[in-house]
Amino acid sequence: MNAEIYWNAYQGLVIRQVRRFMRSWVQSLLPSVVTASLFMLIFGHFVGRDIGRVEGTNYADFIMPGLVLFAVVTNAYNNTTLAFYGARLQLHIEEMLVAPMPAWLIVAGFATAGVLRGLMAGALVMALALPLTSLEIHHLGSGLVVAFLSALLFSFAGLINGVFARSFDDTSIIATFLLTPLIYLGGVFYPIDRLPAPWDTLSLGNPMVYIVDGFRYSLMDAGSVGGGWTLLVLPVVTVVVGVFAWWLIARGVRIKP
Amino acid sequence: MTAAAIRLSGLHKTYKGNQTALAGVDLEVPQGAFHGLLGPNGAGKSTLIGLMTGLVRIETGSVALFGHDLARDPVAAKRHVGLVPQEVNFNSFEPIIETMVGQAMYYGVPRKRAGERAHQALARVGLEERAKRKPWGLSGGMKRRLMLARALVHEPRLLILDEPTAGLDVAARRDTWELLQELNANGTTILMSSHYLEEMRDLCETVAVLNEGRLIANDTPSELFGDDSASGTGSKSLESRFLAMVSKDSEAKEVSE
Repeated sequence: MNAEIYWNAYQGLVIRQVRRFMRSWVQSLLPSVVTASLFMLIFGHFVGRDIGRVEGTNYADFIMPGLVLFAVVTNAYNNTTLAFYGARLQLHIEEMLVAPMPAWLIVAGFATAGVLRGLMAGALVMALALPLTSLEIHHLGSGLVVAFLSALLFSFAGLINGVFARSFDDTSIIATFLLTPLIYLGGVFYPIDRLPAPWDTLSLGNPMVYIVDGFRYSLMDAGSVGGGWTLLVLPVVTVVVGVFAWWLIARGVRIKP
Repeated sequence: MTAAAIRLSGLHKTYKGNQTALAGVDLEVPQGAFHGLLGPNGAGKSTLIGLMTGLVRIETGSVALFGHDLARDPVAAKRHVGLVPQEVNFNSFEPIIETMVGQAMYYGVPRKRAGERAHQALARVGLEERAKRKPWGLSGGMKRRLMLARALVHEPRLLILDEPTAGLDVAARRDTWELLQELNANGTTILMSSHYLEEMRDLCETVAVLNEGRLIANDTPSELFGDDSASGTGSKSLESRFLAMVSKDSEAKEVSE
């Protein structure tokens, strides 16, 4: 009985959230595609020709996995942050709180929409970038797993941001001042083993290095830290962050007085 | 024996800053009743409604709806409850029909049936022609009617309304009264808070009076306001009786402290 209620409620939440970002697809999906295209054009082709080969491949191919993942994680993160903060701000979070929806279902609904937006943005960037590269996908399965888990992890993280945000400024602070630098410094544009000491060692503390590297390994069969680490650590971190997001909603932090 | 629609036991609630909102409220509302909730501003009416509907965290005490404890079995407890909150809480950027369908699905109604019920509920409050529009263009009265339609979309057995007629013109208020009476006649239990004493007198079989977080009376309108408060008499007499009741309680509390 409850399973049927949960399933319908979950569908209702996901449909509403997907419609929310599809209503404004020019603002939600398009920017990451434009940004990735510019990076591909400028660094991949105009400048990339002078850079030469990196890790046995041309530079456009090297940066493509990182750009795809950049689109995946930023879209997933921004989607849940804005959706949840918007629901708190306009009080329509109450529609969920009064309904027979447990906290895990609310988290699952928001996270699913975040994952869908992240993967859609990633697929768009990939579709656009593939004709500009000579990339051959080596491990499609693990690539999909890394992309999915990255989207899920950052959907949960975005939800946590949405819980704690007190203003619209707070919804972009983490993305702008933490997430973006971590991604840019996470080996999207260079292999970290080419960095001089101590930057190469310091980079190993950046979680984005493992995510980007794992995705690059899946697509190109190449990487600095090895794809195995990513597949080992990413699910664990995702579960931990997801449980924290659930705990916040279940406790009613910032949503229930 | 049929379980009460609402059974509240020993409800206490203190907000930040040690501000006591409720100081031990016990209340029972039988199934099929039309029960009023009356009290001056800050008496704890909205907090009480919030506790009953899962919008406010329960500190001590318990809430049981149709025999299901809200803390132990929230899905069963919330499933048959509809809430019309005091503040407008729509997603302003979402078409009205999507809000309605989404809310029905949150209560476990399958998507197709949710669509049918959404149209029926909107027609019931005279808003069907606005189904595809967004709610920001609605007048204050229309927004109140929309909140009522949203609360009815899953056909609840218990309807809780927090000042549903505040800000409505006379005609709209009368329409709302008629709709509530019709719902009650068809078996829906109604708990309604209001500042309008005539509303309490004309609609409710029983009225609970809250003052400073305590239940100071729970009786029929004629017992509370006297026989001369029968429908058709002036509102001044009602107001003086209500004010006398509340100030007497406040004075008694001061003396005891």
